[in-house]
Amino acid sequence: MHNLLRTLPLALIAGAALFMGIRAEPDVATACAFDPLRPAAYEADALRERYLLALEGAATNQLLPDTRYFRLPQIETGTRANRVDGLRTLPVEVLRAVGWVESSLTMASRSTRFESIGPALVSFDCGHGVMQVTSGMTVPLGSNELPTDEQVAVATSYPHNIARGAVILASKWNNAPQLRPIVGTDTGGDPAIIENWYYAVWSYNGFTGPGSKKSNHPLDPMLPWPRPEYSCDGTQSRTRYPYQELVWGCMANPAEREDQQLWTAMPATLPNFTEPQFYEAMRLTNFTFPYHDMDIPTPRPAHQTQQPSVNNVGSLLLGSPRLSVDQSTVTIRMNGTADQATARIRVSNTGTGLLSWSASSSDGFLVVTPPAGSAVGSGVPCSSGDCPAGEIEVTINPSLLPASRATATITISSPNASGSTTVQVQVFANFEVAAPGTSRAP
Amino acid sequence: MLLVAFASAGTLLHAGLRGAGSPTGVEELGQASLVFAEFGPNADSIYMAPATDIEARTLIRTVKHAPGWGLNPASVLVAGRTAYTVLPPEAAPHRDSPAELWLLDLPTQNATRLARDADLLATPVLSEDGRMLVYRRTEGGGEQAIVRIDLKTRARRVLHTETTAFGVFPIGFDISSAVLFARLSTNGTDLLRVADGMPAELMFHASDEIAREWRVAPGGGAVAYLAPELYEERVVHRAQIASLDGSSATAGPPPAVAGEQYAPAWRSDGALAIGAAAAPLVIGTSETVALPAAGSGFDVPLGWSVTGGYLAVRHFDGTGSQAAGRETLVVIGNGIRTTVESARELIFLGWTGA
Repeated sequence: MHNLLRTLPLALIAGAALFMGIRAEPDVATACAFDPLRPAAYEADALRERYLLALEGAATNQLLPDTRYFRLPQIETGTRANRVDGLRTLPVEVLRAVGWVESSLTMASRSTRFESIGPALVSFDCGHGVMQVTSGMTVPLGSNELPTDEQVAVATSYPHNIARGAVILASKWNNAPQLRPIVGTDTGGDPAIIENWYYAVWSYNGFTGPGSKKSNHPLDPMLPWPRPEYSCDGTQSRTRYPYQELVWGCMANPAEREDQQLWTAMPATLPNFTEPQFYEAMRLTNFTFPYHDMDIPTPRPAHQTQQPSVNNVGSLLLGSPRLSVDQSTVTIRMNGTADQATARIRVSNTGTGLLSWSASSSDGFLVVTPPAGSAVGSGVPCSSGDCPAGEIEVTINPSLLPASRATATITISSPNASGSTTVQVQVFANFEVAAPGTSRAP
Repeated sequence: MLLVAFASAGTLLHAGLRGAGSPTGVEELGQASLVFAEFGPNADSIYMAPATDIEARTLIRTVKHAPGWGLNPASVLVAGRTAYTVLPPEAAPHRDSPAELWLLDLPTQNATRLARDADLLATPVLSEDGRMLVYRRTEGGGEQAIVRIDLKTRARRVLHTETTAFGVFPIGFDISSAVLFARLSTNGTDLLRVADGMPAELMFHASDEIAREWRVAPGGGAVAYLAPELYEERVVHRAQIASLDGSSATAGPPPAVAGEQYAPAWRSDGALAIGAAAAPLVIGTSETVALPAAGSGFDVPLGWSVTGGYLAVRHFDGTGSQAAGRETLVVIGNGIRTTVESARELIFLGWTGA
């Protein structure tokens, strides 16, 4: 049982989810959802207890079971001929190793301290947060070219981010048998067997073939051979390994922090490519969509997932956040002191759990930074950075200012707390400006 | 007994064995220095160490890289120069991010960035005279290009482009300085050559499967590589040798060495080391000699020192490719094995000196 479960007070079930349904995912990354700005996010504890608990919740569909975008789909089971919908669970061992490989289980940038709020972790290819969620995060998908509630949640809330990562991993599994091959032809494609997730994990990073720039093919001649097991301790270069071997290595070799192993070792078995049944599946002639000839039996010895015995994870981690803003009107004086040229608005969570928020301005001359973030409620430790409230900095883009006096509105809303609030912004910019080539009037 | 008579593949191997002498090649050569990198999470450290005192390492350069992604060096070091691809620190830490291509001159310790569009995983290749460098890049649409750089003028020339389901990757230069590259397709692996202004031409079909560990012999007259085959109900990789002198372009096996084999490595006199169970075997013109073996595990040859006194290998303490065990960098020379000590992954770059 996690310490977190012993130490944190139980909270109420999260409020009604507000998210919309699944959207089409763009094919090519042209920008990220929040570009050119970066949202803020809460970074949890150094021992990753909250993240590990969230991973257990996501693997058992306990985080956001009523929200379509974040709900784990039914995991299909069976072989090619008899595939049927199964339970909404996936092996937590696989999910947390994927999370570790993706981000070392971090939600915010490296400069952010644990138990604090700082810039969110966003990679250059738009991977967001713990699970480095890229799908659906490459462009703002909301109206007026603003991020959607789902995008705000994925970028700023670790439970949502981890839940979405689990959904994506599950979708990779469910792509078989139509679009991807099956592991487990001799075990009924049982998703409770960890080894059967080999192709799904490969697909999480890209089901790419040998010789390609992004190859994850285990027999790729560009990768050294033989390879020692990936030790997941920072002593080996990732350059030498296909993605799925990084994940397998991290399952078997738990990361350590403060002399503690962060999870129990799971020495899952990789396919043995000296056995013809596995080698032949990887043949070049077989690596052709939809990869039907790549089906393989379960690598042995096989390992069953140990389903976590956790309850109320969703309510515990998400809590019941309530949005609160410290001001309803702010004034910016462009002709005053430097301090007066910037306004700051504190976004608080007067409830429990983790509040995600986003801020948008009614007019282009208002620059709101960050565009989204987190605020923690009672029961969530937060000791530095902007804790416990998020802070919005409001500045002016003078080139877009319509007049020397202007009024605009900032709308602050939350994807996981009801309601929204507005802040009136009054701008004074009474500069004495002379026409070029003339002297200023007395 | 690990001495194996060399006869059956003599005609194929001959082109790679110009003036080959004794396959033992263990004369004392104190000037040889091993060049290697020690992986670090955010930067790799390149060291040079004399073969006779491997722990007396000297730091040559630190190479910063994207977190977790170490440098990928050329397979040989030529005339005190080596090249490597690396993801710069600010790059997205993903294998398909554009990598930088660097040339490192060891005597001066100067590093020069040659390109910013290289494919990280595709190993760059230096010509034997150190004048040319070949690397691979992938365009946005997936088209792969084999690019040659004249290291004196820095002039770049695209020798070959191809849109492929799998990939092409450079492996070396032939006798006429044409670039050799391997192509993966649903037909398996082919070896091709491409010369200036000419279309690529097929040299030979190397395997119906994925061939790997390509090594061009000194002088470019032959090439050795590994191809999979079924052996005692297991798929094992075994060495193949092909002449590139125009008289023959058909691959054939070297002398019979039972079981799984590992990366071949040509010595300057044309002898060939092949990793095999227990210890590398050095195949000369008249006999095959086993180098000193470790108590357990197996060796994967990396490269010979310039005049062949030392062989660097990756030593694994496991039982074979599927259960490789732990890896260490070992130097074999003068009848002894010396392990390069490190708690981190070591990346072989090559040899300098005699």
